[in-house]
Amino acid sequence: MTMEHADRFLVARLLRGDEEAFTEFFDRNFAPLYRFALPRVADEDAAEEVVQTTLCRAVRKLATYRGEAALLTWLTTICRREIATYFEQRRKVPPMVDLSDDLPEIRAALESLGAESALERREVARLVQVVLDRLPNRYGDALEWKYIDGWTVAEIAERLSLAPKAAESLLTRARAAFRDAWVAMEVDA
Amino acid sequence: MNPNENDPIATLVRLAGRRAQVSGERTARVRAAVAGEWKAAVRRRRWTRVAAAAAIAASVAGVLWLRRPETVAPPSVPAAPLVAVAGEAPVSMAWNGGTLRLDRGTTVRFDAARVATLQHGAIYYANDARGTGVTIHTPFGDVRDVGTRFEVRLSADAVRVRVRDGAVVMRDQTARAGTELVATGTSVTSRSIATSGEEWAWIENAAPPIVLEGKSLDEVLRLIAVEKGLTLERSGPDPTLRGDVPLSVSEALDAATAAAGVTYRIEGDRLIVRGRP
Repeated sequence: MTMEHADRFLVARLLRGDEEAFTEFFDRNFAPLYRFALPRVADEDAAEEVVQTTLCRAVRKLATYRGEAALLTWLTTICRREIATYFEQRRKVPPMVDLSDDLPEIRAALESLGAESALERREVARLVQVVLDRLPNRYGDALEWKYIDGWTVAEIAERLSLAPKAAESLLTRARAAFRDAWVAMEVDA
Repeated sequence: MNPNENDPIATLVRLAGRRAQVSGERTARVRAAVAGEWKAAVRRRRWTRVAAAAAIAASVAGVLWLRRPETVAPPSVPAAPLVAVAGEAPVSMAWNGGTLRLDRGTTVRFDAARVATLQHGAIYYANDARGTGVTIHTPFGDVRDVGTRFEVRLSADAVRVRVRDGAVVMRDQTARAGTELVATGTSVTSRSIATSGEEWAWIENAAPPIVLEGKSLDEVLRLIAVEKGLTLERSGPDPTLRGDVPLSVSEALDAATAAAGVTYRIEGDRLIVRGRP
């Protein structure tokens, strides 16, 4: 099942009032959206407000989601509008932020992957985080636990309530998904 | 040697560092707010689901027992009087080219193709086709539609007729848009009223679901304005909309304007829609 199909299925369950679907929807999208909003509004309370408004608006118009893009992409589009509204209503000027996780900028930034300046390394770091946020099934968490925290497969299995073999398999799929997403961006670039 | 040392994925993930975490308190606050909004949206959607099975089963005995608003088959001309009963929620049905809505707890008997008797509660009839009027019998007189949208609410000692558009005739008095008639056993009084607002909310709740797919923004907004009793003022783009799930009137307004990238506000009896600056 592609991510878009999985998202459509999730939305169908949400529309039916499935509580587990809501938990999955929220857990999967809240933190990535917050991380999307935070550098753009430069304030934690404002990010919370904008993301809450985004998600509330999204659940009201779930019926219009057609699965043509990933659910997080759709939510990000709404979030971007809410951020603009946030600044309009307060008559404030948005901070100058690096919008590298907008697709065209991602593509452009990838062209500089071979460079070695600190600025470019920070850019790559941001792009990696964006890719991790967009991976399904907690793959991003698993990769962080493995490569940043140095957890063993057994520890990851325990955290996810999985058998060790299943956790190992999940890590393999997570690596493959990361590689695919990364390569896809390079191809686009 | 660290087995991840030459692993490019491990290197990239380590280079990126941990993603920013959101505090549990913040997460819980947003989760509660979004969950509340989601549950309300689900309730509104359920409000519009079909009760056809119940209606069909009940109609075998000559009674339509309707629990939720939905456009059901028109009663047409029954061989014997057919009775429609709205349960805990308003309902809507097609009748003579318009829609007949029944507020909760309402009973209507269909006597002929264009004649019904309000036995209890309140009905709202919306008919845009002039000249195909219907007659509603009440214990306090007949209400005759001459191409209009109106509500008839029956109580123990009076019947109240509120006209939203067009005109109705009752006991030789003509009530036009924005007029209310109250008829008792001995008198008929008339006064001006608003044609939108809280008192009309049940009618919007009973409206047939709106499906956006293939409709233009303008088409959807006009429909919404009619359901809310508002005058539409709009500028901006007029895109064709997508979305194949039935929506309530308010959901359709939110979804259509968001999808089209326009904003709306309601001021008095005006629905004002503008393109985003």
